Amino acid sequence: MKKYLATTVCIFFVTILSQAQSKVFKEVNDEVASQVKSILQDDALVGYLVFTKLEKASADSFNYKITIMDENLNDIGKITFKEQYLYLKAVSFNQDVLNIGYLKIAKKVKSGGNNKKSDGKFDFIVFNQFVSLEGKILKTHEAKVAIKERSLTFIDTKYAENNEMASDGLKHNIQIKSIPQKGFSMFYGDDKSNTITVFSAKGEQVWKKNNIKDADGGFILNTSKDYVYLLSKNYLVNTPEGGYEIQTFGIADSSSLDKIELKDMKGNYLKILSFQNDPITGNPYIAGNIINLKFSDRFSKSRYIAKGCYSGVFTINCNGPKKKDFKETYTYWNDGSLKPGISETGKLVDQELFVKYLEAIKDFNGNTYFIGSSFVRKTKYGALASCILLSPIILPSIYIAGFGFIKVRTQDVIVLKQDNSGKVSVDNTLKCNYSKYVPSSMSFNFDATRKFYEAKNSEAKSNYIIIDDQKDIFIYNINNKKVVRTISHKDGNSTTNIYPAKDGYIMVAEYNRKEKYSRFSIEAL
Amino acid sequence: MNKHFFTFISKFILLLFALCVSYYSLYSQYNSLYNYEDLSHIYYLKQKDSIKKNWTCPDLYKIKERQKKYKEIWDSRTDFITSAFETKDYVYEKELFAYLQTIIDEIVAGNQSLIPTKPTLLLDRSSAANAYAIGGNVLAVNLGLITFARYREDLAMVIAHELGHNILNHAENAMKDKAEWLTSDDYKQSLNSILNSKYERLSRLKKVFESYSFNRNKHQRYKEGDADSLAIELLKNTKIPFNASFFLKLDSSDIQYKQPLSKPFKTYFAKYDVPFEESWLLKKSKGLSTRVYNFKDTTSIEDSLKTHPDCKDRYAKSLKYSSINQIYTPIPTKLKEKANKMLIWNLFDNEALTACLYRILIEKDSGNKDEWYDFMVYNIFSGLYYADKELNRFNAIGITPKEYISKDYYELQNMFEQLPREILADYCKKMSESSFWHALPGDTRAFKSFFYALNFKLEASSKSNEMAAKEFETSNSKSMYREFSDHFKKK
Repeated sequence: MKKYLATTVCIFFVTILSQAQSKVFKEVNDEVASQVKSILQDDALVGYLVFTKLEKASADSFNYKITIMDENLNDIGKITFKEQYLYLKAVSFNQDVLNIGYLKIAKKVKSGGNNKKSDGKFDFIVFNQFVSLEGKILKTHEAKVAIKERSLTFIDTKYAENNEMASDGLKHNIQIKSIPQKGFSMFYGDDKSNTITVFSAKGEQVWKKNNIKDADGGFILNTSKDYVYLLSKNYLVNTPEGGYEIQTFGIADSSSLDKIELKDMKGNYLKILSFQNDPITGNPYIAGNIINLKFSDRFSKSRYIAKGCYSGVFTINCNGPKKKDFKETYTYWNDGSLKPGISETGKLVDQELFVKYLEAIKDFNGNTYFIGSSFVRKTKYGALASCILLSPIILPSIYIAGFGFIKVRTQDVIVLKQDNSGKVSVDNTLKCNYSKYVPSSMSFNFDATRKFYEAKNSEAKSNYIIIDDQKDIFIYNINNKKVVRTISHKDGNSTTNIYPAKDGYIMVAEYNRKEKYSRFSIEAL
Repeated sequence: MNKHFFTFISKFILLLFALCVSYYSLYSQYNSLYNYEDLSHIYYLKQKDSIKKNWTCPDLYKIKERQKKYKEIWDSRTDFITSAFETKDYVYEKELFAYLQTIIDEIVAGNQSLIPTKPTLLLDRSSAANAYAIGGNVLAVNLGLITFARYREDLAMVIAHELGHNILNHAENAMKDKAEWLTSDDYKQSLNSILNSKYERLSRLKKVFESYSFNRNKHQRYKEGDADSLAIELLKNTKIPFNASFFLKLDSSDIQYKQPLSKPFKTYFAKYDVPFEESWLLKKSKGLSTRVYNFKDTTSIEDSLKTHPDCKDRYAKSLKYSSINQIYTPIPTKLKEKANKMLIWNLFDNEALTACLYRILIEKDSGNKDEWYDFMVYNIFSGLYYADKELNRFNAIGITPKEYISKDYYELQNMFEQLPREILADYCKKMSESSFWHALPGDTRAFKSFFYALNFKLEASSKSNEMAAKEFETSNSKSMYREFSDHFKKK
């Protein structure tokens, strides 16, 4: 920050230096690769971490740099270290300590004799670094993992020579979550087992379990003050969207009970839209749709949603490890209480809209909001008439019929509120970007252009939903029932996108194609 | 009757005279900054072309590659200065310019043999307490140096130092050194060895440049020492007293934003009748910026990489040449204030809103009641509101980590960040109706209307903004505030 008198001539030399001997610069620069991850503590973004592979340091090691930025993108420190090949997988923060999880790929070393020699094969290791805000690596942990040949296709054996970083390898990726006031919990799965570990905030391993039964649909880790929750999904042929189970582990003693299968009282499977922490209690909650057993093997397509492949919505508050600790609230379209607004198939009667729910959020008052994309289905009278008229010529009519006689388009965003007692009401209908009509037969992903993200302002106790639509981004304040900002994706030569940021804010990334610059800004919701 | 009539007439004439005087004083107070045409992109248009034309690279080297490299470096210097003209980095302000020019003229007159040609002076709008020489007999003095320095002799010392660089051809020699190094066999060999090496190529490359930087900066420090010695000589020949203690003062040139405010925040805003909550000053984030972090500081310049000798060393070395029992000439307050206003406007136009308001609050602390600063407070809040609308509030605030700023600056940042959008709009609206506007000239009031329209009246489209900007320009063609409306023009 010091400013010195008389900065004579050096300013304009920098550019010259960077242009000089471009071949060397290009080659050296090509070796450098970076990954960026948000640093989270108890679901709140507290900063950013940039992990950079600087250069090859020896036959089997690299020089790395970690840059830690605060929530305002200001650098607060850098650490450099030498390690074998690392791929950053997860970051979490607690009590002024960062837990950084990597997949490490180390050349196997044959033991015996004085000279250790590499046999050319690799060891795969889950590698944890615990870094303090003084820039010290307090502790490291290593755990070998089994990755079969199948996964090795991801990893070029010449990894050390080229710039590609191994993109995968583990069957279930590393997840790290902070445990409020205690430490960290980590989960990963390899080809032999699934492992859950609890660390203290200083990086001491508290306990480790690697006998977690596998689930082919994957796992999601969550924590409360006293328990670690592991949500798993099995692929069920008859109910592809169901098959969820939850298992709980005591943080203090690793005690666990049997998995709890997630079904309603009637035995219907549940489709999970959200597995996050309640902003009031800090305990996890699960929310989503109740799957209609009648249509359980058919889903997502607009026609099945229209027919009622979901029976209603649910919220489960996970207040402890046992089933009796779970406070479950189920609301069914056909229980009579929602009439006349919502039909027995979930259709919004007045607006003539069907809804596909995609996100669920709990607010600071104990309500759950289900956010969905509505759509309309209309008959393609033109196609129908053409088909009839052309019926004597078989092929064209078959071709037309192949696209079906129903078309679909997404319309408003629907906000459905379920209160503590299970009472459901349509809270708001938001005019967003309508899509073009697509044939119903091709409507498997008819709502793919619209995405939903949650944001909140804990200080003001406000919840927001970010609707990332085809043309615009809408920021909706759930509590005030108001769209607070509408941001165009494209404005002239600029393209704007929104990313998560610190509590109460969003990160706005703007790229100007013509002038070739990117601008980042952290803006209030 | 007649007596009464004459009394009335004489009173009327007196009143008219008083009005004329006060209008003139207001006129001279507010219209004395500069005109739009005084900004470098217009004022120095001819000089820019002349530099482009006349700064031709001399043929120094027989080796083609070296000459080519030298030309590249030479041309980059020309580009640096000409693009600075285009981006309005300099301004011509008659009084400040004249003040600095008399110092230069005095030094030139006393040192005819060393400075045969009158140097070209540029007034840089930067807030950094700095000055620089770029060779070609050109030197620039920053507005920040004028506001920072106390005495005319301090400015003379800095100017003499920069003239010293030009006399000793430091810029030209540095360009030669660079071209020679970049085309030397040593340099090429070291780069080839990097290309041929398998490991630690980035570290090796850094080392090549660091060792060059080390040698160059070490050399540069000698050059700075030489420039200091020559400056003392130049001042001696001119009979301008030399004050070595200014070197010590330079050590504190970067503490502007570490200076605390003397009053609680709410007192500064009470005048505008706007709401204020202490809670806005508090950081509510749980982010890393609020934690105690203490990484090894890699941001400060290592001693080996510093281009300038330590201020204390410079003071110690030159103390014996300091004039004894001298009475130094303070820089006229009027000039310092003008430089400060120009600097504040430049900070605002560059969207450095926190720094801009902080400087105004410091000025208010000194008891300055000039309504121009209220006008700028309105501009700052309007600018913040506009930035918020454009999803750019974060960049307009320019959040600085807590370790570099005072507690008050940190709180002001927090306030800018946390001020609710609706209240910010309220600030703009209420301030636009404040009584201070009556004391301000027409272009400031027109600027207020333009800004108000941008924020509250116009459709949020670049076309309507551009039209409003054009309208403001048409009726205020000479106003310095036209610079802001340039941002809305289609490029």
